[in-house]
Amino acid sequence: MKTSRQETGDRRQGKRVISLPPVSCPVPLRLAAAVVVWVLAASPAQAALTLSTDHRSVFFGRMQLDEEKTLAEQGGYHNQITCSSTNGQAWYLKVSVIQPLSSGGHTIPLDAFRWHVISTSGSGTLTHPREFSAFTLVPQLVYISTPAEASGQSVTFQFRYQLRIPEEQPSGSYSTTIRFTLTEML
Amino acid sequence: MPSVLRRRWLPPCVATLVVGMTTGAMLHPSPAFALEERIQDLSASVEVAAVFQCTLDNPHLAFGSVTPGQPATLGGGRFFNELRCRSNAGRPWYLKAHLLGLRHLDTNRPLKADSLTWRVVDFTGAAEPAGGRQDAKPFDDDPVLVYASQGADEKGREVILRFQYTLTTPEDAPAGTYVGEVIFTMAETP
Repeated sequence: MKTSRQETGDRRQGKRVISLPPVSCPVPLRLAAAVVVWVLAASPAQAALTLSTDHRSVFFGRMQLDEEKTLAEQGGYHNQITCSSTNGQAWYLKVSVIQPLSSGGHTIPLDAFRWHVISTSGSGTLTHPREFSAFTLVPQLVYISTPAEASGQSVTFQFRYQLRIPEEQPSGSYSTTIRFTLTEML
Repeated sequence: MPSVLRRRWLPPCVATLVVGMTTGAMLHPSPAFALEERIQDLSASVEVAAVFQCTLDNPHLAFGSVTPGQPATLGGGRFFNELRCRSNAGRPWYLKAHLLGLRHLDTNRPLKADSLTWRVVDFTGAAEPAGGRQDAKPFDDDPVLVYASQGADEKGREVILRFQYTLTTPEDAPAGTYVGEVIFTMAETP
């Protein structure tokens, strides 16, 4: 432990001195500090955006040329997306595909694969409430939240999907990835 | 004394708290500093069924009564029958034709296959029929090429070929009824 004379000497030499006691805290005090630190670290995760799906893949099965199929077997919808935010500001749900349905070098045109939100528990704005919309590679706006929906309540979206196989389409197994994006940027 | 000790030990614990807050803020950005985004992916898939088919709308080539040495044509005004071919295998395909067993029904005396000719008078495919649309081509005992696919023909586009047929019997052909079998073959091998 430095004496006050040694500290004075350090200051003269331009050293920065932090005067912390070298002995550890008593046990009860250290425990309290640890609890506070944990709470501080964990609390931002609760105050954030959350996005979840029911993990129902969009599997159309086997389809013929020129056939159209709609996946809506669960009372009019196929799967459900749940969003929430406690950030206190507007949020947006967007949807896109990372590529067209593809099989080797063949692709199904983007406008043949479409989505539709048939219902939501939210009170914000659905951008395409009445009809199917073709998937796009660029995230497409699905929903705009209200200010009241940024305080932690969950908002659900029930999606159905439609695919029409063109008259001219090579056979094969086609796949892609649908991406849902919950964002605070329009 | 305990109370004094707590006051003395307090500064280092506060220092620990500051570190903890900084770490927490870095792991979980506060909305005041950064806009957040969350992403969820779902897979989507479909199996497009394979199609490889060939249909003929009128399979009965009935010439009726013909005069030996005189050609008789079916579909002279426009066309007699049409063949519809469709494949979405993404590979080339070939349409071939041959004539089997053209013979006198009672005596089994054969007529040469080239007594019967075919001509494509109209088509919808991406390629030209073999020999074009002007020339009549004789049938053979072995398959001869009628059409070779190209481009969209291999991705499911239906190709329609409309045919005319002409029969020329030899002048010395015995009277009677002649029968034979025209076979169209669609295959991925030339």
